[in-house]
Amino acid sequence: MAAAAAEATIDGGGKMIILISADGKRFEVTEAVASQSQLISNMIEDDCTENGVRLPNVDGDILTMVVDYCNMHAGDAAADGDTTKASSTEELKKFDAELVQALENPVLFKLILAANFLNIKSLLDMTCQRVADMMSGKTPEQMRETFSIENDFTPEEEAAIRQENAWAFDD
Amino acid sequence: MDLDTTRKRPRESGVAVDRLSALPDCLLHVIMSFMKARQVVQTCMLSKRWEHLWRTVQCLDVDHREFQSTGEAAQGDNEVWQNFEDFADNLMLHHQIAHLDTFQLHVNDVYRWGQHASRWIRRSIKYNTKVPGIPRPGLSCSSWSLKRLHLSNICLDDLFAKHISSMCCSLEDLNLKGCRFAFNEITSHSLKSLVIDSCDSKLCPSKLVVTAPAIASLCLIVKLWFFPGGLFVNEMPFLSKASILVSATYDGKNFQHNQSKFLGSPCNVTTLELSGFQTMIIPEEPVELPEFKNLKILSLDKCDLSDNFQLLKHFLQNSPNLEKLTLRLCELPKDSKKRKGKAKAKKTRLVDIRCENLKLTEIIYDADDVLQLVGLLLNDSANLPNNIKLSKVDR
Repeated sequence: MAAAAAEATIDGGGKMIILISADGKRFEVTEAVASQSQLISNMIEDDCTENGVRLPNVDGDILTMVVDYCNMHAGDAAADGDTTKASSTEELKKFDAELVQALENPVLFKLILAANFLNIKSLLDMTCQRVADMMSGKTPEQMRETFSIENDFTPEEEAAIRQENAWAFDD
Repeated sequence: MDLDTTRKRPRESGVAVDRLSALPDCLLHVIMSFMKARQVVQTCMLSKRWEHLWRTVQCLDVDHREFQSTGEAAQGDNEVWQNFEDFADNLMLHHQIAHLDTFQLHVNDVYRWGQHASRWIRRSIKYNTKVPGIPRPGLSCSSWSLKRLHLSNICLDDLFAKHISSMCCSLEDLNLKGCRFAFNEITSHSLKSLVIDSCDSKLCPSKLVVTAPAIASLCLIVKLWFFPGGLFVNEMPFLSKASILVSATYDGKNFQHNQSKFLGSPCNVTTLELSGFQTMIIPEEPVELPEFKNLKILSLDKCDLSDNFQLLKHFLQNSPNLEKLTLRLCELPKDSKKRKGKAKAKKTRLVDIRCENLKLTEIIYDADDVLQLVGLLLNDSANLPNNIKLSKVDR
């Protein structure tokens, strides 16, 4: 199913373009795949992808993940309303769930920045949701631990803020 | 001194870098948009970087359930409500709903707390529209910037409905679940997506009229007896996706006419899901249904097809671009004895079905006699490709 979907996009996706990561790795993708990035989609419209698209903010290993994600999701963006894709929707969900579960600091945050820079809303939402899930149900102290956040308040400041926002805490 | 050194240890060791706090504000706000309101506020304790971030969020998800705890710490309902109420009262002093992009409010029980919770919305409406000393040209000063509003189990009055019509000019996505309506019309020219799920208008027994001409996506999940005066949806020419799930155990009459009236409107719809629809095409009252020229996906769930498939035939005849048809647990004509007598007459009414793009027909059935339906699809319609998937389920 995945192979079939990929084939379909190559057939229908038209021109290929080259993405070049910060460390010089090159990725050849169809316009349909790449234009899930609003940034690249705008560049395609402006006709400035001829000599490859340099992405100085994105490392090769992160771009690999982004390209995998876009390849996987190209079908559903292109063929919105296609009716025979029920099983591939399942597959996509599984792919997303596995991708996001595997994400850990620091790759997670690099991917957030890449999704933001490339302007791929679904990937940005998915990765930000992952961070929110990691914070969910934790006390501020536990959140600091999870993300190595340095507590730069003095004990007095901390007490004052706690006092001011007591309504948002249990006690 | 001691405290200070323990605090600085992570940075000095150089192992753990705080990449979260290094994100720009806008991305931290995106992350916060996936968190419940209390937790968002609690991030103020993390560090100086976070202290005031929560005050500028664009999205708030205020949820009664965030205050429930389980196990030993579990509190009584009233105590949970009081904690939630105190929190929400305080939060609303810091945040004007009007200035947010997305606001979600969920309380657990509309009958116990729906009325209490409505005051946060009411106060926000009143407070916001009275800006002393500032001249208000048109709507600009008092209009809300809300794009998405999701309310669960809240009592909503006429003030709310009027406010949606006149002040929420940016509102695109309105989702009302389990709410009680005390108004009889709601109008919005900006709405693109509307969900009305398990709500009632028993507080206001005349008919409820929804006018939202720009809607592209509509989802109605209604128990008809919860709308004693009926629920009427005015024309939505841009509607592309509609799910209408009705359940009518008794007195479905009010909706009966309206079903066909409603079906007359979504003629540009591409995806249509109907559940619980009654027989509509009543012989003595022929109803003109339009051509669904863009319809690609049609799903009929628990619909009444015992009208000798008139409803289904109508769809098949008038949806030339249909690609997928799903019939799930629909009520089929039962009188097989009578049917034998009628068989001849039926054959003469061979219909011209021209769904050339129909790729998949799925029929999910239980104990009912499904042969007749398959027969209709295979024989009566020479053009239908016979890719029919049958699956039987236990009800």
